[in-house]
Amino acid sequence: MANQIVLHISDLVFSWPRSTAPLLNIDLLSVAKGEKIFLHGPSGSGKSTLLNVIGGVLEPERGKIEVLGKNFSELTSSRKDQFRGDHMGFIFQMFNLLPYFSAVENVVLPCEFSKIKSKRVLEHATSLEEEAKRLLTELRLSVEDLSHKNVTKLSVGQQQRVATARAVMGRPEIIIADEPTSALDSNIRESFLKLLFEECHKFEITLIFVSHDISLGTKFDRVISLCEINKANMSGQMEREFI
Amino acid sequence: MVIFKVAKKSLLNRKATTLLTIFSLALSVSLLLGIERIRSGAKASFESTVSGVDLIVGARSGPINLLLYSIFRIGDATNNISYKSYEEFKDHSVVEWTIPISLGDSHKGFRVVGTNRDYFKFYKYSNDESLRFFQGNEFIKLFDVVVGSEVAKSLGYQVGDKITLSHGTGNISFQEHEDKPFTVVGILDRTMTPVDSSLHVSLEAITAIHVDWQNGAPPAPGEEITAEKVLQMELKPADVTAFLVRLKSRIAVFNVQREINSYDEESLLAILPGVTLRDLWNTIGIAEKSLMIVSILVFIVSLVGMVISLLATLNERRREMAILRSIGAKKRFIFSVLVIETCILTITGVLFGIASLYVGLLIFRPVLESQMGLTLGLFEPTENDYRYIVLVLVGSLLASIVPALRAYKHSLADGLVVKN
Repeated sequence: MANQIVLHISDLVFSWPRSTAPLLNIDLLSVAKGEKIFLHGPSGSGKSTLLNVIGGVLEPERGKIEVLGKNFSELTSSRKDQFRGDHMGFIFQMFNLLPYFSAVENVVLPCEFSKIKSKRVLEHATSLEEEAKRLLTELRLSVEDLSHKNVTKLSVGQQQRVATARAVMGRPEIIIADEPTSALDSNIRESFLKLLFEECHKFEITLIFVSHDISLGTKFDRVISLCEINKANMSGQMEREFI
Repeated sequence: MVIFKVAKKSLLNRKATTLLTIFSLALSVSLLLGIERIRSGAKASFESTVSGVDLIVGARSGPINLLLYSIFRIGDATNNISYKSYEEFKDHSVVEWTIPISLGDSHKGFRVVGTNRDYFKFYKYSNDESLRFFQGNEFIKLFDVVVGSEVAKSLGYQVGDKITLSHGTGNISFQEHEDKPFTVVGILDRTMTPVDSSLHVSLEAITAIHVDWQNGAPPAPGEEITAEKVLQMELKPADVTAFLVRLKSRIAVFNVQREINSYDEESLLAILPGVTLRDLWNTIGIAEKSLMIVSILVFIVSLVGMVISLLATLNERRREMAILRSIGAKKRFIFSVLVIETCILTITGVLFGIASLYVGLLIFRPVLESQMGLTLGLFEPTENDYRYIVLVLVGSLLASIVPALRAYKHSLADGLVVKN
């Protein structure tokens, strides 16, 4: 099953409304189960847009996006939202957490949006909170410390680990990480990546890691440069991004 | 439900704004309901001024004028009616009882009502309540006077006190009937009607104090008739100002009214008190309506305040919405969060508004009752109260569309990634 395809994109064209030049034009992007993909591209190369398309938030102009065998063009937007909640986890650059929820509540949150995630958790744990605490501990966070602190008072490294626990919660098939380490100091960057890899490995989660920092690429199974696979006219994108 | 949790926690995260918004909503709701309460209270006590009377009869003038001087003791009659006419209708076959009223004198700013003992027997106010005596009893002798509770209270009168009446109805009168002093023989219970501010004497007493007057002028020196002499005289009233009529059967009311209005001997006017009360209320109702409009405007202002405070935070909350979206929240979830937040704010505001209204009523009700004669119900919400509460809720639900739509649009533009 090692070659099971998790994400398959073909002939994708995406352009913003009222823009003639496409931002994305990708012939083929295929990711197998358990792969750790490093998606590299300078800012403005359409990374965020690609993530929104994979997440089912943006609709491509044409092309086929298949996630876990589901063809996105066959799903309504609210089905795609549910699909995203059921099968994906996200980690962003920073400010990943809802400021008015505790760390544990933040980690539990995905299960409140997804019965599938919640069911998966309860197969192994007695309660969602227990699993959240276990994950946080696994990510070297002291649940005791966290419970006394507002999540906005945590260090960026701690926040990113809480976000990781949230992304892993309920064992989604895919985790999409958008520059999760760019706000971290280089010394904790390594350990953060290590923890993230550990979690993904344990649950056979496919990781799509987006960054402009090419130096991290060596740690991944595969490095994909967005500039190489994206045939869209760069000048057209530049126009949109910088004007 | 996770959406309520998100809405609740998000509001609590912005405690200061949330509390201020709730405070302003509560204030406007209690203002709205408070004014409604005062309005209905005022209307109720207004309408309960007189009860059980089928017709009020006076000299021909305007119906409202007649009602004002005969019942509210405001203003003066343009003319009196002859005692003969009064007697004619008093003895009418369909008339059950009448109460004559003779006005024109006063005592320290309070009106003096000349009447007979039927007044204490038949006069009814509120829900068919009769007059009761707090102290003493009806007038029997010629120079006896029965005072209303407000008169007794503000002038400190007790049964047995001697007082003199003044000619005319002004507060300061230069023509005192000081030669013929009266004795307070009774004090009436509080009625919350103009009866409280009246002094009651017999029709004969009114005749007696004016017996030596000529054409509305005090007697020339040497022509005075002393109180002792008056007691020997046979006093027959020449006229009355108005009289209240109760019919044996209400069915006859329009016939009798027509009969009185077309009376040949004298120009008379008969009015139906209920109808005229309503007309009068509608006339003075403009003040009430403008109060209502102002309080509705205050409510709209606080709604706008709430919308502004929600809109102001939306920019900071773009990331929060993107996170929720990434976790699997649908677009309509983002919209609904804002609607639910508005609902929580409004419902809390309404509840606090109602609570503070009741607290305010508990505190100020006795003051309003004793100072202004305004009896307000405490825990008796009117139909209008419910109407206003529904209006408030619907209004805020509509207002919530503004921030909700904006959050929705933000969320569409941002997707999962918020640009800094």
